Amino acid sequence: MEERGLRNTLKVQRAIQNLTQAELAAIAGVTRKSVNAIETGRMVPSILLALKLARALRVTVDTIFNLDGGLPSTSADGTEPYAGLE
Amino acid sequence: MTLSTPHSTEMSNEHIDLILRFSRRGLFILLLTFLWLGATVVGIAFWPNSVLAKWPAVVPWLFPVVMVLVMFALRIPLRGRWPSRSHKLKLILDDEFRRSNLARAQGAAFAVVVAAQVPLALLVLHLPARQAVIGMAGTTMSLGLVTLTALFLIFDRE
Repeated sequence: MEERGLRNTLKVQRAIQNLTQAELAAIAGVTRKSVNAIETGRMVPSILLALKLARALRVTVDTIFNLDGGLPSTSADGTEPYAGLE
Repeated sequence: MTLSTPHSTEMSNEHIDLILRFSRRGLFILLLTFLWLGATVVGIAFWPNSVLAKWPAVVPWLFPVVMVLVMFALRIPLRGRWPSRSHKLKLILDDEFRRSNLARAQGAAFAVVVAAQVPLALLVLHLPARQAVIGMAGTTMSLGLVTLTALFLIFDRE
């Protein structure tokens, strides 16, 4: 059930924090199976779970989950995407 | 967020893994039970004189006795540590991976049940009305439950 275009660095971030799958699962309040499924790309987590994992690893969500190839630097009509949002 | 000690976290994880193993074994037994009962209903509908159809009348105690024995055998590894209302059980039941797998299995089982209706109707066409109804109802329920349980076990594996 791997979502095309979505990559995650959960395994790397977990290794940086020196946590096992079970330890991360306990902190985030899920089972080890969920962590394993996300790391192997078998499951795309909900926003809530992504936020919990990010908080457990003390990083932002987009440090763990990102789009393959990143976001376009310009939109189809040539304008800057997200302009005016800041 | 409070973090528990490494030892207690380890114990907790071990217990969660134990419950998960119990859950998988329990579901596998449930799958076998559905197959057993499904085969009996199919036997009653399509081959009323076969052993499959006659065993409930010959050995009516067999099913409950087997179920009780299996339940006792399943609970041995838990050593009385069944967490009836603990947060661990809630964590497992609310687990996102488990819920998404259950939803996928439900969707697939529904599709299989719907797709099986026409072939099933053609199969029971030649049977008397009573047997046809038993055949359709029993086979549909068995097919749905077996598909749901089997697919959930497949999706939920590591």
